[in-house]
Amino acid sequence: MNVAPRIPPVATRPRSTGPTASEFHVVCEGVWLGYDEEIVLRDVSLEVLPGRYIWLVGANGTGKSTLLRAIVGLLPPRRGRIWRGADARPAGYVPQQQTLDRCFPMTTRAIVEMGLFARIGPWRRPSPTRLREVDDWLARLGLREHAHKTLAELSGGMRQKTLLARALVTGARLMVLDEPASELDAASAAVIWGELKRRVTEEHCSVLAAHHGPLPEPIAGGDEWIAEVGRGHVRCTPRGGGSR
Amino acid sequence: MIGALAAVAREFPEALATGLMTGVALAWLGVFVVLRRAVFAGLAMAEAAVFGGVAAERMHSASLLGAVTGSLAAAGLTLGPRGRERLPREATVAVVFVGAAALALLVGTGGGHHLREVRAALEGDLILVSRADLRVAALLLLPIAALSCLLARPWLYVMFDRDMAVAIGLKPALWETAFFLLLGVAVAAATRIIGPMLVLAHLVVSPTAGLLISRRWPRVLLGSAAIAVLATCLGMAFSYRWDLPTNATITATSVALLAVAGIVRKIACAAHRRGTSSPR
Repeated sequence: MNVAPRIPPVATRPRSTGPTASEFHVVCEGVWLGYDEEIVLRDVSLEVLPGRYIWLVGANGTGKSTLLRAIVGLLPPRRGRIWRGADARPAGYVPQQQTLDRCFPMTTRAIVEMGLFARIGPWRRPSPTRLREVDDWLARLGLREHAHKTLAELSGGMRQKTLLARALVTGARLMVLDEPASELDAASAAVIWGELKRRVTEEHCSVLAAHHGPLPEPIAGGDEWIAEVGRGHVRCTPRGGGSR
Repeated sequence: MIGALAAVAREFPEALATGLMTGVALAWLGVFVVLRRAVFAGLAMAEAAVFGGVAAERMHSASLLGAVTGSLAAAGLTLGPRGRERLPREATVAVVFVGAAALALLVGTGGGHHLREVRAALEGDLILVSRADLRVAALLLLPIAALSCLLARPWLYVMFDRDMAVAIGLKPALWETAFFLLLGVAVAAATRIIGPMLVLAHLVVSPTAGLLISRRWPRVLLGSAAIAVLATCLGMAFSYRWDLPTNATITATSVALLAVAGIVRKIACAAHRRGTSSPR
């Protein structure tokens, strides 16, 4: 089996057909993904264009998280290519929270500040403006009173909100969210969906979100797609009809 | 007690300065060793450093170089990346530890020395450090301590959430390699100078106390270093005053400070709970 080269951080050449590097955030071309001997997804082709919102739906264990991990750069494809667009800064990523170690001396605020790293790098301290963004997100998601608690002291919903706030302060053009609303209350979910919609429609960011359960209200006039993941394949259809 | 400490500073200035430097450097690195659940790997690295140093001496080579080689080899075996794990990592750590401990004794006694002399040499003694040891500590451990502070944030991010670290542009393999290299060199140098028991006290006990004292990571680093400094000063003073073995006294003082930190934390938590549950 061929092993594909590492994902280039930025696509170095335009594709022969379809959008050029400046016109997409991520393009998957015939991507095969798996762990050890097992192939989880075969021949996945997907275009994440600016202003596009893609919902990944499907049963547990079908490969939604695997595809998201590959797009973020955590899992190299077995075959095919994943191109990152010229405008693609590091993605704003929300992993499933079970992977986090709750013993770490990281307060809610410190975890959200981690998202600033993508913009300031390892050697600079965050500016007051950036820190105000952190405070703003803590307040909007109702975490201000819990800013000095560690992960071990937070409920599942608050941990989820912390990870979402961290992804939102990255300033990423591409948001990759693994079941972001799984433990959110209705009010917090509304804040998150509202912000994501705003970023998609006003700032032409793109969102790729694995989701369980009923989808939120469609974005008026939005470029929304549903990617059904199952039986090793991904089938994309525009939300509301058609197929691809 | 202040009189005893002043006497230590007057009569054993090299030992006190070396003890403080190794304490701070190892306590800062130890915070990450504890958080990464690599405590037993640290133990194996210290034993491998002892073996490397003894083996190098037998071959008439620089013992520090041998210790660094042993420590880094142990780090690679016990902490390095792996493919499919057929055996629990703890098993590898234990094999490296017992293998290095046995080989150090065998190689040491093979030189014609008595077992008791070899054991004493392997255990090390802070009070016996020389001016040359102080120079080595200053040249190696002070820069490592400074680098540990500088690299603390990326190390913390990479160890806390590797996936997000990749997503925000960090390269975990690069940062972790830097950590293991610095840890390997620090453990090797410190083990050669002060012995494995005191190395482990600073690498594990002080950071554990630091983690009990605070839940904010800059304060954890400061608290760990403060515990290491306090344990070294008090331990050396107790040792001088009551003629006790220095390394064991400092280690016991570290553990006592850890116990105090644990009790203080329990009391603080109980007081906080009472404060939040009482009606206003």
